[in-house]
Amino acid sequence: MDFNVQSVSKTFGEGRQARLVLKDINLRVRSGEFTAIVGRSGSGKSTLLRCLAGLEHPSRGLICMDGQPVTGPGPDRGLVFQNYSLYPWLNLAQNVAFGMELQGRFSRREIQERTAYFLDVVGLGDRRKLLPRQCSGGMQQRVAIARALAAGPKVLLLDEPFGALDLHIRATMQNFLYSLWERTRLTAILITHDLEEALLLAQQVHVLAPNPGRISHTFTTNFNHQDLDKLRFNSSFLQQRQNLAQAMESVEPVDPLTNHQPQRG
Amino acid sequence: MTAHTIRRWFSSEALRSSVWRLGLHATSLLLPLLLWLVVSHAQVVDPAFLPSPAQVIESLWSMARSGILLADASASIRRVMLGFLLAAVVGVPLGILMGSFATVRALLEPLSGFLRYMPAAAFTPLLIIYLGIDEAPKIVLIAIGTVFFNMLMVMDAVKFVPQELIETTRTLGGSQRQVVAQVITRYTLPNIIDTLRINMATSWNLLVVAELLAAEVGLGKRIQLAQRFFRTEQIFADLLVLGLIGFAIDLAFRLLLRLTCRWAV
Repeated sequence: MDFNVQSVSKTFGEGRQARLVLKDINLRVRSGEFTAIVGRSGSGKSTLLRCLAGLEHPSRGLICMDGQPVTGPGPDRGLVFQNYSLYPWLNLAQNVAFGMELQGRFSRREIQERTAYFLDVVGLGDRRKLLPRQCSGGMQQRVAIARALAAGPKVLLLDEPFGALDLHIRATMQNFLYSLWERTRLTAILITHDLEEALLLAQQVHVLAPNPGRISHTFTTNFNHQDLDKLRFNSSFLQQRQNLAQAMESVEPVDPLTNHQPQRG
Repeated sequence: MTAHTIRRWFSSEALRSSVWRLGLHATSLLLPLLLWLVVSHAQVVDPAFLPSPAQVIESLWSMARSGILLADASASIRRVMLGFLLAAVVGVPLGILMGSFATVRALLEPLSGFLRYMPAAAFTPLLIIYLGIDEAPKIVLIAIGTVFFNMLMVMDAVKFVPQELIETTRTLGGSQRQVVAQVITRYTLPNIIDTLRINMATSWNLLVVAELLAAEVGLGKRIQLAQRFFRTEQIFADLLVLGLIGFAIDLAFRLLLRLTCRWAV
């Protein structure tokens, strides 16, 4: 699997209203890699992910998956949103099975087996009959991940998947996602504004500078992931986090009084 | 009794107690009945204008025994149901399509918004010219008066389907058609049932107008005849029956909602 983003730009609006949101993005993701893209709100990171998913079309440039240009959404690129994405009328198992049923390329038996397998993978095998509204936000996001994986994607796109969760649940979910990646070696692209999350999970962290969104820095991590909770307080990890924060600050100074970045031209 | 206690009785917290709520429900029906009993017994109003409950029940009983009541009620229910069904079969799918596709909305919204303000009763002369004086014009009249409300209310309900749910379905491999049939329609089903429940009242309202068109049997027709012979107790009796049937249908819709959409109630 080779996911290739070549000089992608995205403009919203036309004429005088036109606003350049992404400028000349180049990105390459290979099988089994976990990539993170960090940026503050307004940096265009969600737009970039939506382009990768095929929900938006780049104004210029090309996105290719295994040499084939991406023209729209498809089951080879699974997507997990921040929230509101489970089908409220289906129980957890039916939610996981839904994508496979839509595609029509899985047999009934396969659907049953894969549903059970992926519910087990996210640790919810014994909760299969619950409705989404009976579940916590963390459980719902685990189901959303299981559903995306069960549909058989080549790459998993995660749009701030834990952004709506409480801090301590977020840490648990980050540990869960890392162990999931370790076990399945899935290919993933994570959008986040949480620097710790990005460094903890990804091997490659791209910084998206705003106005217009462009990749300004790329960090490669090489930590010992034996104990994630210890790693969070490891000195080289914290140093790397500091470097990342400085990189973000350098491309996007924040006015300390208003907490807003100054407007440019 | 302090103001505080009174305020507590009317708080929403108190309403959660089912005994208190049931008591209020009973009061809402029994108090007017009591008032009616008192006023008619005291003969404040001429009994020719305000018959006593006993007279009304007697009239009801004699109509029931002679079979008029059953004939009237079944004729009226049949008309309303056919007109309502026609309005549902046409209005609900169009409403879903209008809510889902901007093009369909642009095409149909101005027209339905315009036609909605033409009183259905004003179509009566045309319907007689086109369809004669049989059942057809009555059913079509009820359908015309209901269908535009169905379309616009269902269209509005579709707007509340979360965008994330639609986009997730697309990335799971769902086609446009599957999104409309299996996600948008399913998500809006509770609202569709509720829309139909509310618009059922509109259909009933049009019944009396429809039965002005040379009907031989029907509850509305019976009321007109009773007026001609100044039989107010019969008017009261038929009004009661109309209210009871409407109330029963309303309950049936609520039950349907509970049975089919447990996730939403």
